[in-house]
Amino acid sequence: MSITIKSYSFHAIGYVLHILVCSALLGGTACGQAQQSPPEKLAYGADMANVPDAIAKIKSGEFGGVHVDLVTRAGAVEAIPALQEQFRHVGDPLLKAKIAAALVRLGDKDDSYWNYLVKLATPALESDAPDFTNHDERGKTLPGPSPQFEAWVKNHNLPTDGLAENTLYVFPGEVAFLGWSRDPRAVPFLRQALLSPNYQIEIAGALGLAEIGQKDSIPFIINACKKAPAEVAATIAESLVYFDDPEAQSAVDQYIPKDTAKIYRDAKSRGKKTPWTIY
Amino acid sequence: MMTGAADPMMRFPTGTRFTPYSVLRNVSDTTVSIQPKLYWMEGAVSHSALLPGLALLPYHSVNMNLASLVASAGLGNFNGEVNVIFDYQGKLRALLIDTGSVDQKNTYVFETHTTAILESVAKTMSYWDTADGDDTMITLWNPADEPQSLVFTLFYAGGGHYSFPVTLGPKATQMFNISEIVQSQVPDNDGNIIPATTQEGSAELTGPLGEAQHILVSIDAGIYNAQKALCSTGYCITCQGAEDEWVDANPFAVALGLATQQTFTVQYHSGTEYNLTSTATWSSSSSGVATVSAGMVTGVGIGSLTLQASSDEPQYSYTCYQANPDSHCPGGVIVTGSSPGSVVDSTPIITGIAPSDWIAAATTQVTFSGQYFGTNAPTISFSPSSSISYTLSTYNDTQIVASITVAPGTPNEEVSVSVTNNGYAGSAFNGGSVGESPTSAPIYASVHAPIGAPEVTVIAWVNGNATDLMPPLPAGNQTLVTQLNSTPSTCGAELFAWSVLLSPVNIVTSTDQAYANDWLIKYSANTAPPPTITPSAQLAAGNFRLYNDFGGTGGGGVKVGSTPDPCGLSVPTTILNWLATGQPSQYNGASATSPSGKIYQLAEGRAGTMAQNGFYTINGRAAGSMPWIWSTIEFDSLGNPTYSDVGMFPTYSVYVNGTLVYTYGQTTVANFFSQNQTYQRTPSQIP
Repeated sequence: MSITIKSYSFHAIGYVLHILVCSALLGGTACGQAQQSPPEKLAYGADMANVPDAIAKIKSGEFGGVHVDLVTRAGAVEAIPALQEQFRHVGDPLLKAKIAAALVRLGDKDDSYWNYLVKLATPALESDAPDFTNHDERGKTLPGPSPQFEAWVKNHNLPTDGLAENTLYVFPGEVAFLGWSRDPRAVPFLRQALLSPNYQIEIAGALGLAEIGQKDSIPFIINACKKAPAEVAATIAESLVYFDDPEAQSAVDQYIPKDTAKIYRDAKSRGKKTPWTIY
Repeated sequence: MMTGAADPMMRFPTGTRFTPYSVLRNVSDTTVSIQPKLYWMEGAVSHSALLPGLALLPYHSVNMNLASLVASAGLGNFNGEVNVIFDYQGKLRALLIDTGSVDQKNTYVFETHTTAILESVAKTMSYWDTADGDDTMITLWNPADEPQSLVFTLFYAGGGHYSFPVTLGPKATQMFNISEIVQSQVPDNDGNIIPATTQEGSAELTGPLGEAQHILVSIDAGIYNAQKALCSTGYCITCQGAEDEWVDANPFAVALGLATQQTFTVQYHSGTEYNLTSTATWSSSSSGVATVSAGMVTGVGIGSLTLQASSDEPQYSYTCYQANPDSHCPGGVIVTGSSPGSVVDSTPIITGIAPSDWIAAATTQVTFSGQYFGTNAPTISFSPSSSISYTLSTYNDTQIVASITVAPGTPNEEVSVSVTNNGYAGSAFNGGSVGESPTSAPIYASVHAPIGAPEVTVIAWVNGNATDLMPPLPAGNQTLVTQLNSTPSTCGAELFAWSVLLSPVNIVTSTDQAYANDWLIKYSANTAPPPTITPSAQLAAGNFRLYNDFGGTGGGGVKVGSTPDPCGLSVPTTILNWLATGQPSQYNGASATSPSGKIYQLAEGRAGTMAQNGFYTINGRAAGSMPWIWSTIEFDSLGNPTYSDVGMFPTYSVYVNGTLVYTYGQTTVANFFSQNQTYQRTPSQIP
């Protein structure tokens, strides 16, 4: 008999170390290139030098999700008071969710932030709406809405405005916040997402589990790949790239085209250690 | 069955050895041919050997002398567990089998239940016990040819539960004691620990996905006490699975030529309902009335039918399956639901009117195309109707030709037209109970005087060839390029990361930003409008009105319209909030006369909510910094454009009397995304 003991604290330590290493590499590259041709300009969200500016913008109230994302990836706990303040004022539900996820990820113990994320994701997780898109017999994705989705909409007497963007983009994104928070409490919700009839929500669940580094979920992700059409399975399997695990890597080779898998693995070797890391 | 030295973990007295036994009796009146096969584990690998076959005469019994047979298979010194499969040919329930293991002093006798193995979604065990020296031994065997991951969950007082993962290779066996799990005090995947004082409870064996997964596994258990030399089977194993099934709509009706999606639901023992519509086997009792595929019923002839759906599901055993006469899960049973249905007459549909521009004070020969017009003389209705009359020339179920007369002086207006089906071959229309109407939805025609004054229409559209957007797109980093261009679902994951999760995934450099911005414009672009538009389109838009029917659903008016889903997950008209969304001008009607007496139009467009979020994330911008973009176009008395204030976004195509006369190009992609304030004018600011 063997029982695996999970240790999320190891993941947390590993992540902090990763950020430090990443910062050091960025600094070294900039210094080395100063003597030669001008370095290509980093995008705002990728440049750790912008962390103080991002904190200032959050404090001023003139900020976006990208600023919250940056300070969170930098582990800038000094931004917590400003984030708490903006959480009270921001009306847009997605920006509010971003702040809540950031506070959870930065270690704020107030459960109201976590509860906000769960409440936001629950309708998506509990929806029994069939997949929006069509798929041919070879697993290729074809534009929706599928007949099953249309019938479901008709049976539920739902308005059609906004259904596509909600189903394809908004619902998966709302589930993704749980994974982006990197909180172990997200694991059962993300595993539930893997059972969603909406493949984009399944993808969000798989990427979220990879973002947390939840190795015990590898069999669940692989099982989701088995059930999904080929193209969708390849997207779900991207999450497996980030697990240093033979079973996960074998599934990557099985479900992702060889050239694409190489691109993902190259990015991982250059520092993209999780799906939503900016390296 | 156990053979050889007892497992130390079972705490039998030192030196205890077990011998397997098996006694078979043929209770039928015909000879039974039996082929036993032995399975055992060495290390983590399963092995097997065929044992000698035998024929058992009617009403005869035989002691298999299993110990000798095991030894003949080379397992004379084997210590562990063996499984035996008895493959027999004879009458159903012809064979009684008594098997088990006994120690050398006949102190400990472990009876083994003989079961047939079929699929289920779970197997539940009613009771386990570790109190007063008792322990519960669980034995699992995987008869399948592939490995299975399983979860053995213990339930105990206070609502607690503990999950113990088990992986069994092909034909592999695993045996464990519940006391060992209790005493380990190791948290399970959910962090649960069994209180050390726990001594009894129940258990369930499932796949990792619970009810959503079928398992094929044999489970046996025994509650024993090594000190008291007691062994009992005071537990009950139940197979879990389907308990009820039905077709949801009962009865149902569908119109001739139309289709309706029916659903097939199976309810499991837990109360959870599963929609098996797509995997069930569907059939129609009358394929001449209706056909069915994956629950989609299509009416092909008037009449009645019975719709049936079935699925091969594991079934709930209701009672201990040891009590089942066949001693196995009641799987392999087809569960079936049915529903009576009928096919009725369909609502007429007009698909075309030619011509659709009717001139006042004239009679026009008009052809109506469509379906379900009936074979009795149909009725044509107009709204407004006071100035329009008609006479039928010819008609059948799919086409009507009529002479339409419009009275003199009728104003320029849009007219809705509908057709009423008055039945077939002398019988009245029968729409049944599904709400089929004899009257079609309206379709629109236009009535107008001969065009004299200039009519100006402006079409706003997103051009995928902005001046700084170079086809093909310059390659950004390989991950970004792959994410956006490989498959729709991967692309969708990238866009929900940007626009909902608000995370600038894969945007590392300024080149990546430019690539993403260019890509979004390119793949959200509309098709360029044609060089001419029909008079009816002009009239639908109204003179000097902004109009867009490219990607929209028609009708004209002041809407910039929608743009395609750039990932291709949806058809173009359904992503309303991606790149551009039209807004009525706050100057009501978007056109008027300026203080100088010239005619002008104000138009406005903006990125939709999803796109705004995406652009803020990609470009490092604060929320709310995306501008509203306005344009002002001025016309002379002939309708020709004489002035444009700004044509930033999107592209504006100006038509006079249906002919494209001028195009105001949109701004560059970089300029569009760099704007950080709203550009607008009030009417008083128009020259």
